[in-house]
Amino acid sequence: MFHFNMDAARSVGVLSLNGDLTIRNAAELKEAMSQAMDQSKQLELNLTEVERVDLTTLQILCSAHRTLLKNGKTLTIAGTLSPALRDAVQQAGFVQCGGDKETSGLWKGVMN
Amino acid sequence: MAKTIMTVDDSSSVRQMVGMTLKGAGFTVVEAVDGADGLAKAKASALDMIITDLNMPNMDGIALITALRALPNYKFTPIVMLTTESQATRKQEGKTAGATGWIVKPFKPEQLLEVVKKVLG
Amino acid sequence: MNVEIDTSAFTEEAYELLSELEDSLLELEASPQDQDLISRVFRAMHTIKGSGAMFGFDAVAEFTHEVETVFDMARNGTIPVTKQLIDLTLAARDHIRSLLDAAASGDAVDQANANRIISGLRSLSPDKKPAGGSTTPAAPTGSKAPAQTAAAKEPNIFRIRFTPNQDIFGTGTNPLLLLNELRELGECRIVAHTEKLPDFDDLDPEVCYTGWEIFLTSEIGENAIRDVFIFVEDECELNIRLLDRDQVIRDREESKKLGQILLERGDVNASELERALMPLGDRLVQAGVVSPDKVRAALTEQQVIQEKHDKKKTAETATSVRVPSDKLDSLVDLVGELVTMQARLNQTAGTIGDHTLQLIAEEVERLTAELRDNTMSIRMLTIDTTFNKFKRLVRDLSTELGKEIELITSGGETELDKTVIDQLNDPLVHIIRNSIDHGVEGPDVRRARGKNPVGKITLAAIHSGANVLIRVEDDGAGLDANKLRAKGIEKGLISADDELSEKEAFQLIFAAGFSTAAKITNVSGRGVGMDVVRRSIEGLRGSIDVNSTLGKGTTITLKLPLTLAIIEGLLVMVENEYFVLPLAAVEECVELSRDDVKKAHGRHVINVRGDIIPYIRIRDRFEIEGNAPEIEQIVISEVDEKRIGFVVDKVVGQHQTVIKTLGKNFQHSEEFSGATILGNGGVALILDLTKMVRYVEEEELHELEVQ
Repeated sequence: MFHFNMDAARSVGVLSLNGDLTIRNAAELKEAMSQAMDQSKQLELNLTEVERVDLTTLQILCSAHRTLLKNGKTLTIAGTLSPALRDAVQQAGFVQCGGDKETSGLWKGVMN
Repeated sequence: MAKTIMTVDDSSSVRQMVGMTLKGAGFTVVEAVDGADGLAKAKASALDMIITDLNMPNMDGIALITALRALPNYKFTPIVMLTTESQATRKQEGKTAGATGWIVKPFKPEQLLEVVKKVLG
Repeated sequence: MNVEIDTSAFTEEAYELLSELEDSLLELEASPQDQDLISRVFRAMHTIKGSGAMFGFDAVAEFTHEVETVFDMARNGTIPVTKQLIDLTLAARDHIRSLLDAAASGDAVDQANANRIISGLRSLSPDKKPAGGSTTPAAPTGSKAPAQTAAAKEPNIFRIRFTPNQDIFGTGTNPLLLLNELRELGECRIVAHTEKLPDFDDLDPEVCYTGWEIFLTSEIGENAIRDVFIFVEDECELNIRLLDRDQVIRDREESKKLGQILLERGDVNASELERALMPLGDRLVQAGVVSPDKVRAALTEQQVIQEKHDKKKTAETATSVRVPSDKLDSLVDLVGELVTMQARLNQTAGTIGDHTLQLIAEEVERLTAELRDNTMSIRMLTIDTTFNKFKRLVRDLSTELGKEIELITSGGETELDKTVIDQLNDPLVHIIRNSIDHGVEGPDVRRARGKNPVGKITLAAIHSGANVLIRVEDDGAGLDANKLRAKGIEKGLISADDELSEKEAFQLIFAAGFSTAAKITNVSGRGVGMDVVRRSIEGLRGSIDVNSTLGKGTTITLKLPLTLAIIEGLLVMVENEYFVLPLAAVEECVELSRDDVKKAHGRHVINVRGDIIPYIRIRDRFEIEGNAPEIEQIVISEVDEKRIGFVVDKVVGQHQTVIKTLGKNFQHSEEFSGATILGNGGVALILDLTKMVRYVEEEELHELEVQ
């Protein structure tokens, strides 16, 4: 469900998430994110294979994004969003989340 | 993959009505005759939603909801109770125990499906 | 297993809803097309019914259901809002109230009345079929838009604030599904509020931190929106507001530019949006909206509509807390005790003479004063609820008497102590009844006198120093001083050769057993009116005054203290006894020497800069033994618009007075409004100057007659 790859040279970590990401495994998702965040200065998310998704996932990703920015790290999304995730972001009104002056929006550029 | 819904009711006619309606809408249905039966079947399968009566022998609906919420697998699963208008206080108890919503008996199949859509998506 | 539940939450809410309902119905009568009012009425009914069933008030739920059904038709435009509908609904409202009362008292209810109301309501429905049937009121089946029978309505714009409780996932609820349901109702713009989202380390993955603001454009009513949230009513904060359509249009034109930017590029191109957002965001941040989410929400709102007042209002309601009034009462008691202790601390610190202690005492004094003011302000309520009640009274009574009377209120926002407001109701009812019954003439008489056939009663509240003035003014027949005089003589209240000024003649209406109406109606009682009113107002340490112009109308003015519990007083001494005079009445203090007394030739008057002022010797009044000092002090006060002096040995100074009531057995108790504990632990009596002067006058009159 969660797959983490580290490019040691660039200190870029790539975390791939796939399958169902709902409240049932929200704790596991947080744990996986936490480890990936600790290990990388730049973290990339691969979200192309995400299936079911709910609010807990969005909250985890948004909080991670803000926290990393605060600590001088980055969180970006590689590639496109899976249709399910795209829908969820839109449904939850998270499109512009974090898209203000201080932080650049997490979903910016991947929602078009 | 079709979602699985369990209907828990000691009245076979209600189970039948609920079962038919849900199957007709493409769900997989598990039937249980009372709370204890429902709890055992919930543990044995992966349910996406539970529809339970409140007044039943062998563990009533409220107790079933409480027991299900204590299981890691059903902590966040939608549970809808079947109530009658006169059971207003029971409805409140059910909500407190962790029920997601309710359907007032008697109800029509469309109303049932509306509620399923409401809580399950 | 049936759990006993506390039903007071329901009854409290129901009584409140009923009073709102009454207001709404009366407003609706004035503007029967107002959809907002109609749905307000419907909602009140719906909530009473729904909660009634929840809390086991089946009779309430059943009866309300009937009314709701008919009002639903009005809401859908199936039947018009007529006077008949409003009359019946008002009657129904009263019946629901009596059902609630009956549930508490166990008394029987008037079933015939209920049947009459129900059959009346049913006869309004176009198909004349009995209302009700197999509806399942609490079921969420109403989420479909109600059939629109009337001409196609313009869409409404709703702003919905939905903030789930943090533990909402624990009931298997997926809030995103609710948002999707809203989308099915109409065009939605949804802004998430994620300010509460914590840092990653503190994030509980199974907690809901998000809230939403949704702008929904749809033809459905508010109830359909509420139905979406029916399962989570108790697990979220929900605020739905219909945004003003005219304003929408105005704002749309005004903010066209911004609207266009957002509409054309808003959700389509995020970076463009950001650029467009910046300056406006800054402006909003400056205006105090700090978080980016709020800026976005505000911007979205502006895009759909802008309604600043509304925002302010909801912020106010969201931050208010309800507490039982006895808790407030005990808070006031405690503050009172604190004030007393603080006075003692001051005195002790002064005696000891330690500088540090004095500084502390002063600081405590300042804090106590602040605490006192704060506590008092918590007890202050606006008077508009009381005022609103009279709309109904005026409406019902004037109809009964075949008169047409319009009630105009102003100053409803004026605040008064809760105790004062509570006790003000009955006297005001009496005064207004008098105006309706004896004051305002019937339409024919008014026409004949060249007046507007519709009479007018004005109810106004205004601030005046430490007092609030409440004025009841009518444009009726006015008081006839000659008739009053004749009546006074007839009743033996005055003697035939008494010379009364017009003003004094008016005062007669406050005498016990005085009634000038030739015909006694059941509206304003049987002559036990105004004297009772005066007594209750004076019981509140207030005063009452009447003014009238024959043929033009009558004005009754109540002067009430802002608060009852603590007053600023002037502490004085006679021998070893302490007294407090209300500082508000005190004008000045002058000396009274033996010489002055001699010059007055035994009369109790003193010449103050040319004014001859009568005085009362406290020492004599209360038979205090001992010898008066060479030079006494006269505290000149204004009582009933006259200047009167009160002679004491010594003026101690200003004193913050916490009033304790006295027992009725206390001698002279009528002349004291209470007692207070002093800093040194002693007791001072608080003088009720008005009553004391009145008693002294009566006694003197009596003595004159005896002579």
